[in-house]
Amino acid sequence: MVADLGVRALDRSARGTPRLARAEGMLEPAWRCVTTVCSSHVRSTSALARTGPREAITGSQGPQGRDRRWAISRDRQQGTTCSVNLVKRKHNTCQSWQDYESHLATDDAHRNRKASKYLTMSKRRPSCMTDRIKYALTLATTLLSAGVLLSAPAPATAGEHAGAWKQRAANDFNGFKGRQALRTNPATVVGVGYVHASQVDVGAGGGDFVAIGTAKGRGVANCADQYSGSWTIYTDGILGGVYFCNDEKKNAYKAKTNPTFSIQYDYCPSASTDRWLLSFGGTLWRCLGTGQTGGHRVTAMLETTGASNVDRNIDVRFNNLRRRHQGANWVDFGAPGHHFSNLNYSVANPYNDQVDAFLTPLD
Amino acid sequence: MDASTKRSIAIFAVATIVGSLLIGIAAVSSRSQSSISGTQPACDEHRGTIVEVQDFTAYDEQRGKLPDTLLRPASVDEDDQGYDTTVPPSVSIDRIDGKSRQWAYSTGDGSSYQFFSTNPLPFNSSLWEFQAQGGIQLQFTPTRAAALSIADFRESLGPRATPVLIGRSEGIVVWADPDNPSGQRLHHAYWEDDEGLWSLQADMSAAQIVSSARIIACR
Repeated sequence: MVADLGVRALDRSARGTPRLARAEGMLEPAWRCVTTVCSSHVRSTSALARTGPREAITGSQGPQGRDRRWAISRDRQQGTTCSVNLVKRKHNTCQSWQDYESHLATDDAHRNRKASKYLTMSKRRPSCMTDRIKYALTLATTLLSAGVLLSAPAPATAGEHAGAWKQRAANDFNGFKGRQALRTNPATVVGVGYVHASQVDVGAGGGDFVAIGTAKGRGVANCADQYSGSWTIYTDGILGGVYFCNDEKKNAYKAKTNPTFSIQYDYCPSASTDRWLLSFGGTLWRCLGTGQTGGHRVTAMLETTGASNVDRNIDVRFNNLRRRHQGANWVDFGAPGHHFSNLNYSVANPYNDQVDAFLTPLD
Repeated sequence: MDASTKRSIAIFAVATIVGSLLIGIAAVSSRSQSSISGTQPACDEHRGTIVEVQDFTAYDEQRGKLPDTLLRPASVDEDDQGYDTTVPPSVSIDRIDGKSRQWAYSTGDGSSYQFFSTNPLPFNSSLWEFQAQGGIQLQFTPTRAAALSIADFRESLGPRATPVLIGRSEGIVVWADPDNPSGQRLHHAYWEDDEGLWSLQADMSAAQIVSSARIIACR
């Protein structure tokens, strides 16, 4: 069961990676900063406090209590579900609630008391205004645009996505490339699939897409189950409304590898014309034609598929990410929008060319 | 005239007659083909049933993409110039199937996207909501920006593409796979004209979408 849709982001000014931040979180924290993400807008903590009666802060909204690092508040007056991202301030750096979570005692009651206390404290001591403003400014554009994701109905299936994306009204993306660092090799669970995907959504929303990545576990469509071995290179997409999936190379990469990928609209030798070229590990695997030559969104994400509601240990780092627009040169991926279909998964972009997507905490 | 000469003349005569007949048949066939796609555009309401293959890939049998965002998704890019809501008159449509245009934009490659519904929808509606409420999406891609022709589509989609006549074009209709958890399956109609590739997408029957596409193609 999917707990909620939400958007959050680590402060890009935070030093180090989320993992480094977690280690630092072991030191004595000084809790100060709170950002609140609502269905279509960003509120400061004080704004949330002013909205009047709301349901109790809870910290275990997700399946099997795994959502505990999040405090979810429902604003009764506006009927709006808000995901409250609790962050701490230490050495002038705001870091995420998950860092706090990592060294808390494990019982939910204690966590909830902490969350309530923290919110109360923040309401009384709005001492991190600079950070709030910085958060608001940094996130306003992405969150306002991505906020609608929050209002969309939660997927009914167990398939879960967490990823970061760039979107352009000009529909002129024609390249997306980088590396995909595979950081886990999840245990086999029959009926569950694991996917690291990079994709270009072609044309307007609701249209076609092309993707390349690595997957293992449960197969889909023409991509076979693979419950043993390592990660398989696959391509998939939607053309003319019809989904397709191809296994390109089975058992291609083990954990701790960092292969390259690229999706770009260029000349395809086998077709003798321009096509979407899907490459992985330096090999061109597929030339695909779609209705349009430009895309409106590029995405790096993790995905789980299958009938299980249990969160899965999956962790991928997209690095050296670059994007290209029609008639322009490659540029860094930049500050993306984020999407979660389950708040147990985290997405961070600590650098302009990096997106980390992972289950937190990792098993 | 000896016997072998007579036999040669007879064979020549028969060959000439057969050849003429074949040429004639080819000419008739050619005219017939031309009349389908060239001189008699298909503009009327489609009557009868369009037979489509029943196979499809369910949403949870796809690796899929991130859920589509909005009817009017905002850009997440610092240097994007935002939406150009000017649609060229040659492709601008006011109404489809009694539904008025609610939102439209064009892109730098000349493509245009138009959205129709009975009632105005909030722009923060998701595309799912838009489509679930009977929304219709019309896309036009100029030939120079279209990566595929109708023939390419037919080849790529195989039996999932059902040939239909739309205006002067031998178009296709596709019963699309669901691309969101609602399981909703849209029909897509694709056709070409002298300017480019058209696509109409909506939750309506194949016959209905072909009829709507014909009105646009023959306007």
